[in-house]
Amino acid sequence: MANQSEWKKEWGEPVRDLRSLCVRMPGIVRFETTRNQKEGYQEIQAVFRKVYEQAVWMDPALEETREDLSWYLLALSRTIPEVDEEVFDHRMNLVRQYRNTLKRVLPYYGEMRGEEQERIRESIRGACREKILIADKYTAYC
Amino acid sequence: MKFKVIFLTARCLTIELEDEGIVKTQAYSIYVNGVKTRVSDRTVESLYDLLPDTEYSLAVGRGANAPEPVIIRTPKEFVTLNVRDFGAAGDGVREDTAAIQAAILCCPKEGRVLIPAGVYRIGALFLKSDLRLELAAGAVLSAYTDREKFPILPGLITAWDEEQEYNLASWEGNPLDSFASIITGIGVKNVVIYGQGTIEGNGSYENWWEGEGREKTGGAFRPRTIFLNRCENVTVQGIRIQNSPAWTLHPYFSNRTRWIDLDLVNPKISPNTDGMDPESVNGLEVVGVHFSLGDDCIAVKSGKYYMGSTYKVPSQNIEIRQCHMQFGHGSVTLGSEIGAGVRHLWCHDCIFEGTDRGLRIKTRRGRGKDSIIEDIVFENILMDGVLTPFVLNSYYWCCDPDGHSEYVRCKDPLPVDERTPEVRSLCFKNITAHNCHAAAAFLYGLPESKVGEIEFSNVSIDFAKHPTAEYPAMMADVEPCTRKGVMIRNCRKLILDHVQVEGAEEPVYDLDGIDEIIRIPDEEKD
Repeated sequence: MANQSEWKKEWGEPVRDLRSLCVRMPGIVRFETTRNQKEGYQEIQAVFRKVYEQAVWMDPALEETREDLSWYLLALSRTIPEVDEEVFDHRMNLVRQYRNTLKRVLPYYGEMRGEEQERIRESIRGACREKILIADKYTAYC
Repeated sequence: MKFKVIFLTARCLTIELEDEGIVKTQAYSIYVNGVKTRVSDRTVESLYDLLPDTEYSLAVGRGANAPEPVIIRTPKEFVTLNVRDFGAAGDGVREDTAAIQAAILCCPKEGRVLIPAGVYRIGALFLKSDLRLELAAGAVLSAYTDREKFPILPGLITAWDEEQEYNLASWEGNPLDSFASIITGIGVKNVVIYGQGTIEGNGSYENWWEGEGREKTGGAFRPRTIFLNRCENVTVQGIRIQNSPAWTLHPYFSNRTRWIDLDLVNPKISPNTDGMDPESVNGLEVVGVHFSLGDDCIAVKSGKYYMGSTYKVPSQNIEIRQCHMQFGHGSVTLGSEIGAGVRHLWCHDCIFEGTDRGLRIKTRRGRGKDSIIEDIVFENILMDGVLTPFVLNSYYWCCDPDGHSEYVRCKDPLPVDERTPEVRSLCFKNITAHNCHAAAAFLYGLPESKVGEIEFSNVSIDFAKHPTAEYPAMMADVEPCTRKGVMIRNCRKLILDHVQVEGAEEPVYDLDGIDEIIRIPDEEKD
């Protein structure tokens, strides 16, 4: 349990390592949902809120932001299914972050590097499975 | 004797006596066309077997003198669709869902779907606008308990623009996938369901109420017995509903609904079988309803944080009268899912018997700034054997992931922000509560958002001879108690106008954090 809570110290402000967020956060949320009575949910929301506030200032027209934005989208897409649906507002906060960020990023999809595109495609496939995106609209990415 | 006709169809009517007491009165006779037709002692009573487009003289009275009649005329009726003619067997064996659904979908305006005596096995039935659905005496809609007999209503469907959404189902304040209810209305108008028949939910500990069966199983949460989503002008009258899978009646974002002379019966030990859960409704009338249940009799709601803050639709303009509420957790509860608040609720001339609490408000930090409780009036209420008649719990710890967190339980003032709920005004007039057990009143506001005004006027409370120690509220740091008097915390203005509490342990009044107290008579001056 102690090790599982170590994550709370892991992401400071600003949250710099978005790859780590993507790799670790889905598992952390799964643990909180299934084994920790969701006690860490508020902190998880706070981390994503911080990242969203950072992401709003990342201009996807700039090449150097795209890697972080693609990790962030994938982190959201992988984390959303792990949030207990009965804590609906938490889930929908992440959904809003995902949709808003994707809307800003997609116009630059064609200019992105292959691995960034792959992360975004994977995030879209996940979001369509979760029905937070309309799959018909994203056939080009799926 | 004075009476009003409060409900009239081509086939039946309901009267309500005026100034004749609460729920029951001395026996009286009802005369139809001068013939004594019924003797009753109920203040709300229904008559059946009327004919369409027909004039009747109606009178009620006692003794030898013929009472003055009132002339009424029943509405026209175009056609009757008997479900038997659509292939329903009503034998309690074969499934009749399709036959009854066909009759409903074929029913024209001013038509009637008749379900005659018999036992009809059904899954989910969907209403349509302008429907008159009659469950005749001896008719039983007997619901299956197999999940595969019920379609799933998706909770939230994303719109093409990915900004709007289509909300079809709800579970405990969130838009979550649920099985369609035994009777489901989606966006229908001008519907009447009436009669002397029964809807048998067949809920038991072998199916819907069993441990895992209570949770999301088979892809959806439990059905209700009647679920009305975004409906207008719907009346349900006369019928008995028993053994509901979960909440019995769930009007949701529905306006101008009436619930008249119903009998709602679920076992005392059945889980989440509230009688009625009006959620984000405007205009709701509950008259002459008998509740005997395992959870709250009426629990008024307006969604958890997402639904409350997104749609901002409070439950408002609610009148509850001449109802008899037995054995539930709360007689009339507000919350706990009240993200958009509750306003203008008037509960009067009712009996609360053997419930855990009379008025029960359940809220907490985190419900949000739209969660405003305002203009709640209880008047002319008789309570007997209620554990704690008046409860306001601003620290409700149940049913949320952070319910036990320091943020929810903290009794010190926290900053007022987007998440802070508010209780503005509560009024209790002409109330007698006999044989209480735990506390006379337990009203605990938030220190940073004090209750605006609480008024007790002509309120009399006494305790049972051998009271049972119970929790007055489900919150941190509260222990079971008995014979506790009036405990109130965090209120700007408290009015105690002719309040009597007998049998409570000292101190009878345990008041703290109250800015202004008005006592009538002023005991200090006496």
